[in-house]
Parts: sequence; C-alpha cells; structure tokens
Amino acid sequence: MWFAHPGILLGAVGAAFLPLLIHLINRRRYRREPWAATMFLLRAHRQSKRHIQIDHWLLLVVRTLALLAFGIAIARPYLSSGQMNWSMTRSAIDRVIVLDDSLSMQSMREDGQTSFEAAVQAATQIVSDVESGDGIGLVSASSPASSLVDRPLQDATALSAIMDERRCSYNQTDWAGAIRTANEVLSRGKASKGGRVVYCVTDLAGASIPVSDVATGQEDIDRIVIVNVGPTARGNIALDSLRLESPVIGPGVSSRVRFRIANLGSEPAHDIRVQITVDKHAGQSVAIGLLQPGQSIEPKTDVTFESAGSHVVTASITHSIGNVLAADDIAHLAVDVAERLPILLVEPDSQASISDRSLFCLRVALRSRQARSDRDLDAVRTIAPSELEGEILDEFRVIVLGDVPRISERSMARLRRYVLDGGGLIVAMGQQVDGPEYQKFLFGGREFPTATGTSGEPDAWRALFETGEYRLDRYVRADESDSVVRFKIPTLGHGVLADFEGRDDGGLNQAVVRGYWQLGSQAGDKVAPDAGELLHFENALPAMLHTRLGLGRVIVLTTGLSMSDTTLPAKPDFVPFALNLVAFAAGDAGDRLNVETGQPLISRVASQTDNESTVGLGPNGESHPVSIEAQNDSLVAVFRETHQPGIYRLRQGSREQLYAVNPRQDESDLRLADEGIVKAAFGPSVTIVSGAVEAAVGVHEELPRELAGTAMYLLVALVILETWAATSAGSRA
Amino acid sequence: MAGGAGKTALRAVFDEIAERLHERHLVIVLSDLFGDPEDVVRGVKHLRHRGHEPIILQVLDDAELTFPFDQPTEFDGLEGVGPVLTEPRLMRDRYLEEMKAYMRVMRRGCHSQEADYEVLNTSAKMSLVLSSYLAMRAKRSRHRR
Repeated sequence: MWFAHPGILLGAVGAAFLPLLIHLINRRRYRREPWAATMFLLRAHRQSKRHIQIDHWLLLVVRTLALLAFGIAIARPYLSSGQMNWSMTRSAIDRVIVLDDSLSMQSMREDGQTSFEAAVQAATQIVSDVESGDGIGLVSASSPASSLVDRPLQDATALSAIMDERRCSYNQTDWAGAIRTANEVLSRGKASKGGRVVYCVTDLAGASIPVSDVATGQEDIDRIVIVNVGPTARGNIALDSLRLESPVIGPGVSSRVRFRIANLGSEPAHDIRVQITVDKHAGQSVAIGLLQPGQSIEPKTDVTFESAGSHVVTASITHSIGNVLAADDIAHLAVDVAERLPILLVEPDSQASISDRSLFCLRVALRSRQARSDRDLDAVRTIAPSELEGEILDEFRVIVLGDVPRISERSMARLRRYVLDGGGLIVAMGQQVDGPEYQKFLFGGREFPTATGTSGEPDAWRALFETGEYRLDRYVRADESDSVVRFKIPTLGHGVLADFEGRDDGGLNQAVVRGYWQLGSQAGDKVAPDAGELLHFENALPAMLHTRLGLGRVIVLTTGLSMSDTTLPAKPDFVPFALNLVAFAAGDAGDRLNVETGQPLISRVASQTDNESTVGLGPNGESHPVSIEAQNDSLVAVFRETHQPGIYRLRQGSREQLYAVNPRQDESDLRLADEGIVKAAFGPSVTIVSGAVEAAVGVHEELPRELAGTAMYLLVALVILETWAATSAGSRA
Repeated sequence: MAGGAGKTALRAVFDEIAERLHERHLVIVLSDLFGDPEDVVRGVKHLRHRGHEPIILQVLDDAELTFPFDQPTEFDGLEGVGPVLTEPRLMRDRYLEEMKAYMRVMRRGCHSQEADYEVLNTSAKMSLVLSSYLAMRAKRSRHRR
C-alpha cells in the first residue's frame, strides 16, 4: 500500500500516540486521599481491577486506532498494481495527457526549471505510473492543438521519447482544441465509460481559458485532472506591442514608434528600462520607472531610418525585477522605407485656372515633402482620366483620383489589379463625381470594383463595405443647410490622424466642408484592424474610409481636396494630413511585414520560377522552404515556418526583405485562473493538483483501489466502538 | 473507648470491657468498627453474656459512605495498609456493595444479641443524632413494658 501524502501519514502516526500520552499524564496527575475504610476499598479494587484495565486499554486502543485511521484516510492510500492483482480486477483505463507547450510555459519557476520542463517531468511520471494494459494518449495544447499519437498507446518508452523531444512553442494555449482532440483520442481507445481520464499539465494561466469553447466537446471524457506546474510567483512585465505611430515619410525623416509595456504581476515593478534599436544599432534607452500591478503604459519615441529599404526596430526590456517570463520582453517591428514615392494624380481636365483644379492643393502639399528631407522623395505625375487606361500603373506607389466624374470599366479592372498587387489608391469624391457610377465602383455588388466580375472577394473590403452596407446617397452642398459642417476626428489613435487628435490649433477640426457625399451606413464607428472609418463629419457621417485589398490599400474621402470642397487646404494641418494620407496609402507594408508566431510571411513574386531564387531565413539564420502560391490572382512567395519570434528574411536574388514575427500577447498574463472559471470550463468534478509528485496521485485517484474511503469507514466504526466502550465503562461505574 | 492510631483490636477491647465491669452496665461503643465483623459480634455476645446492655454506634465519614470520587485517586490507608491508586469512578459500585454487606452483617449480628446497632454519619450533628437515638430507644422501652 502506498500513500499520496506520506508526510500526513507520519503526522498521523505521531498523533496516534496522543491517547497513550494523555493516559500517562493523567496517571501522574492523581489526588491523594487519606482513607480509613481500606478493607472495603481493597476488596472493591481487587474485584474491579480486571474490568478497569480492560476498559482502559480498550478505550486507549480504540482512540489510537481512530486517530490512525483518520490520518490514513487523509494521507490517501492506494494499492500498487501488484497488490491490486490479488485484491481485485478492474477494466482498462485510457488516459490522455494534454501537454501545455504554449509560450507562457517558458516562465521560470522558483526551482530553476521552466514550467514546461516541470510539465514534461510530471507527464513522464504519469506515464511511468500507469498500469500495464492502460493506454495513454498525448496532445499538444499550443495553438493549433494537435494529437501527438493517434490513439492511446501502451508504450511508455515511446511516449517518454516524444515528450523529451517536444519543445515549448511561442503560441497561445488552444484549450478548446486540446480538449476536443483529447476527446477524439479517447474515442479511439479501448476503455469503456468511466475509464477515460484527461490530464492537463499546465501553468493554468487564467487568460487563456475560453470557458464556453472548452466546456463543449467533452463527451468521451469521464474525468479531467489539472496538474498545475506553473511558478508560485507569477509576476511578469510584458512588452506586448510595438508599432508605428505615424507613417514613414522617407529616409532621414524621423518617424514615431509607440510601444506598450504592462505589469501583469501583483507587485509594483520598479526601474524598468526599455532599449530601442534600429537595425541592431542601439538607440535610446527609455526609462519607465514605476509600474503598478495591472498598469500598462504606451510610451512614444522617435526613430530615423537613414536609408531606404528594409529595416527592423527592436524594443527590449533591459531591466526589471519580478519578471518570470523572458519571451515577451522583446518586440520587433519591420518597416519598409521607400527611397522615392512615385505618385500618380488623376484629375479632370478643366478650363479653370490651375489653382482651381481638384488636386492642386495636394500637389502643393506633396512638394513640401522635400522640405522635410534633403532628398527628392516624390515623383508626382498628373494625368487626365482619359489617360488612365494607357498609363503603366505599377510604376507608382500611390494613385489619387481627384473628383474624377467617371471611370471606365477597363480602368476599374486595372485599378483593382493595381491595388491587389500592393498599390495604394486614394479616391477623393468632389461634386463632379457621378454618384451611381461610384456606387457601383466602390460599393455595388459587394465587390471592388464590381465591373471586373472576377471571383475572390477580398475579406477586408467585405468587412468594411459589405457589413456596413454603405449607400452613396447624394452630394450635399453646404448652402443647403444653415449649419456649418466641419470634420470631427474620432479618438482612434490611428497613425494618419493621431497627430491631430485633441488639437484645435492646426485647423483640421475647424476646416469647413462646403460639399460632401452623403454616405448612408449602418456601420457606426466600427473600425477593424484592416478596415474602417477614420474621419467623420460633425453630423456623424463618414468623411474617410479605408480598407486593405490584397496587398494594397484603398482610402475613400467623401469630400474633395480642393478649396471648393473644403477649407482644409488652407489650414496648417493640411500638409501633414496629406503627407500622412499618401504615406498610409503607399503603406510600409506593415501588416504584411509584421505577423504573429505561426502566421505566414508573404511576398509578391513575378513568376513561378522565383521559387528557385527565393530563400527564407529564420531568426537564427536557418533556411526554410518557401512555396509560390496564387493569391487574389497574384503570385506570392509564402514562408510558413514562423514558429519562433524574431527577425526573418526572405531573399529574392539580391533583394532581401526583413519581417518581424512577434509572439501573441495573450500569453503574457500568467495569473492563476480563478477556480470558478476552471470548473466552468472543465466541469465541476475537475481535480486540480500541484506539481510532479501529485501528478502521480492523480493517476490513482480515479481507480477503485483508492482506499481513503475504506479508511473513512474504519474511522467511523472506531468512533462508534469508542463511544460504546466509554458509555459501557461509565455505566459500570 | 476504642480508637486511636493503628489497627483496632476490636475483639480484645470488647473482652476487656466485659471482664472489667462487674455490675450490669449500659455499654456504648463508638467506633468505625473497621475490622472483622465476627469479632464485633462475638464481643457483643460476650458483653451480653456478662449482663451488659451494649449499644453499637458505627461512626463513619460521609465520604466513606458515599465514595464521591471521580478522578484517579491514591487512597492512603490509615491503619497500616499501603497506598492504593485506583479509578474510583469505575469501582464505586463495588465499594458501596462491600460497605452495605458489612453493615448488613453487623446489624444482623447485633440484633441477634438484642443489641442496638446504628450508623452515625459524621457530617450530621452528633448531639442531634444521639438525642434522637436515645428518644427512640426510650419509646421502645415503654412499649416493651
């Protein structure tokens, strides 16, 4: 017989001597009485002596046994397999070990092990402790959860070898998938109802348990045991976001980056410093100072990219105390900086003076880009709509349609292709725009542009324009209404408008809108990461929309950019607004260059033959295969081995593109899951045990050989016997 | 007339009294009478034989009559018997039975010799007990006449 808590048993053995000790103490604590009637006393004493001794010893033995039985019961005794063979027979039991190999399991425990190392140790102990004839399955819980063996195996050596080779991932825990997979593995096992157990060996970090998803899909699971191997102290400082605050204008022009740092522990964190580097050249060190528990801040800092091309900004925590998880102390941001930004402006022919043309003010604003740099940043070309069909669009990073009345179907198709391949399109709608045409061009048929009739609706466009059900109602002139219409900047923190939020001195908020297209919408303020409304009018109608489309971006302004549409060009904010707008449309390809672990890296290629010349390199310089695939009628190189965070490279001939892969943010919160959440997710009968030693206990808990119940019955019997013996002695007295 | 430290030799005391008193006397014996009851009965018989009228009054402590002890107690014998450590609660019944049996023997032996036998509890006022006994005895004498 073995005991789950031998320490408790030792304590119980010690406590069992208490009745004897009390008896001996009482024997020393008697009163003295002078006595004359000794003749009766001696006679009575002689006759009672035997009964008294029997009563004494019986009570003593019963009380000692009762204490011992109580100790044995809470020490949770069980029989080993050898002992089971003669005592009883039982049916086979199938177990599945769900090994949490998510990012948070890299946290460091007090004993110097990572949580993952402790998990492997606990799982190995479970494997070695099961009976011969029982099956064990193995499931990896990191997203996407997967089964490491098809069905419960009886080969402990093979299972241990699989676990030894397993490495902790940088993904989040997929509890729902893991439980579903465990359920599937159990359904392929031999055990019948009542003998199917799942062990989740995890740090039980609360943020990663989606209760409702986990609670379903447990049909073939009879019992879940959670083995908590996480650290006791769970303080963690996480650097969980690094992004551009404003679009990159060009080389030599400073850009602003913003990072988010959070204290996810229960103690204040002091003296935190964050080091910013650009392409491994150490930049500034940002002192954070004190962070209270649960507090997060988003400091900003300026960085400058000295040359055009691919760059990486890295932010890393260099000093902090009470930080058990190092994997989220560093974040990378890949940025593409263009040497020049070729821009194509399309505006209608006009008899009016040059200054009255629809994109005159934008053209002037773009010239000021050169004033912010020593270099010739832009190459602006202006054409008439009729020339659009013959123009080589791929030579430009951004195309601006300024109050173009109509767009031919051929031009619509070419513009769509252009955007899908990575171009930026800005559509400014002035009063000359043909409403029905643009309704069809932008929003009709729930596809952009509808006229192409090709398959493959872009998701981002659908997210914005299909669910929003936009309708281009009519052009509203300011003189129709008594009230003056102005722009209103929603507080979104978006890079294009972040500089203007909360400021009135630059004029964006004061600019009067003289005419605009009334865009009916049910979308409200919905802003998805890749699509949404960036700017409103004061009457809450949308003024600026944007969406990703393929590798490019589309921005729609519901008013024109000339002085006849709005007074904005006359305001100081116009130039930075225009530069940000163009830079945003051109894109730093940020969404494509910065992905989370497990997401693919995508780069446009010219032909299938590029497969041979394209090489993918991981953070440690190791090369991985790259596949050439068709996406949205374009050929792209896809690199999928992004399981480790860091800086990746895609080499195509002499060109090298940098990518940043960062871990998911939701693994940084290591705080222990609330017991209520655990029970809601895994069922009310879930058992939570701690560490490797208790993991073995869990193996025995569900079996009929558990003897704690027997010990409890014995205890009850002994208490009844003690009561009878004491009463009996009393009645004789 | 009988008492003091050490074991009381009841038979010898009774015989000595019987021999010393030459005329008929009323002999009142006040004692705990802890000894062999047959000795006491023979002593009473001797006194009666010599024409005396013995009255046996057994004087006992209330504790000796009720044995009220609950916790372990070491009884220290007063008349040369060593200490006895025991659990009074578990032997009280036995003790009281022994005491009652002794009194029964004494009472029967005294009455067979037409001698009075009474038990006096020291917790009661001795003068009251004696006067009440003497009144009862006087009443009984009148009835006999």
